[in-house]
Amino acid sequence: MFADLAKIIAKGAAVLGIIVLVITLFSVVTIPTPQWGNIATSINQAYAVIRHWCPVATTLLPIGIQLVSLEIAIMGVELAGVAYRWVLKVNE
Amino acid sequence: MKEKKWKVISLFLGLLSLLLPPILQVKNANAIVDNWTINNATVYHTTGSTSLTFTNGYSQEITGPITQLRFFSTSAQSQTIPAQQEFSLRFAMFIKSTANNFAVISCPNRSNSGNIQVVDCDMEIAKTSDESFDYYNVWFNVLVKYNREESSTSDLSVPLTGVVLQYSSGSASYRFSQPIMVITGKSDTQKIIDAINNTSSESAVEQQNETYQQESTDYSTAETSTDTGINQGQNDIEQGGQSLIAVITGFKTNVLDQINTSSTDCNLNLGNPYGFNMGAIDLCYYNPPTWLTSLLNICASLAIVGLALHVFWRIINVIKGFSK
Repeated sequence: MFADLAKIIAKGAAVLGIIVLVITLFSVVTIPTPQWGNIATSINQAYAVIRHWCPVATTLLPIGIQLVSLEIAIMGVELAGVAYRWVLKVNE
Repeated sequence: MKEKKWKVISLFLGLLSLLLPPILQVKNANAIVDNWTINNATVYHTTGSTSLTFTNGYSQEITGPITQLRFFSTSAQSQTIPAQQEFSLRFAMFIKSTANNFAVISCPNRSNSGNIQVVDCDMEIAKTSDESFDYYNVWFNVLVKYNREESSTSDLSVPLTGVVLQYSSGSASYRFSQPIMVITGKSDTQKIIDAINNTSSESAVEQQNETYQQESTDYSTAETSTDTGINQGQNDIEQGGQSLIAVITGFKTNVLDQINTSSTDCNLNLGNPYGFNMGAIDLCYYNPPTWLTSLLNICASLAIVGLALHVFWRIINVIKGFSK
């Protein structure tokens, strides 16, 4: 019983450690600042062309972005579920 | 399995509808003129300058910049000026001077003013004469760069100062003329527009010459004496300065920018030449065939439906996974 509890605590700590590591990496590592103006202009240009050629695509684009966001959220939930099961799995 | 199938199909269709338009637009960049749609947002404005001065007895320098530069759509709303873009201005000036007067005419300075930089300039000078006067028809082609990182909806001031006119003796007067859309050859877009307006520009120049010949008779009385002629010339300059109009004839790069494409034809629209409704050709878009647009629209719709189905299956599976 105590050994199982210790295993769960160790695994939980490992998962938390990984989360902390990822967050630290994102906050510490400095990504070079992109040329936002140029990027925005390019995106605008591409958007203008798509709007001219395929108006439905630009109309539905917000819905598409929301669906992709939902997909990413589901992936996060799945990952959390996998981690949860792994932490609680003691008889391996 | 179902969710993966929908994912692949929707991703394929989505990418098709998003990536194909830019690829085809570039591919058709030199397509025939008939298939282009003009964005008739344009730039023009007058200078309110009255600061034209004699720098010496026989030369004058235009010191007043074009004070405003605006994009106008067909609805006359101010539009965004794209960041970091070069565009060409073209404007004309008619000069009347006493006969056999050697004239030196220079381009505007290659200068900076705030976010605007004059990159390049060239001139085309056509001279005609009658018994008493020489008439110069000068076109300035100026390449301007907007240096800001961000696009702007504000008015801009273009440093088109330093146009120097110099005469050996006698009197001279000049006035800026109504602009004519002639393409400077600075970009692919302009070449296309050039092709559209090849004939109309020439007739417009002739019209301008006729107009000027008529107007020049109004000045002739006051310019018979040299002394009064110079004074009258300056008055004319001051009056003429108020009618300077510059037209952006196109972007140097083949920019398809933030300006709305409301127009569906490539016709030059220069109505109300000294007012705010003087539209001019700016940007062209290649008009895809209707069947292709419909196909791309269907692809985009199916992509969204597929993505929605994929997400739906994902949610169902996640819920099932938790309920196990």
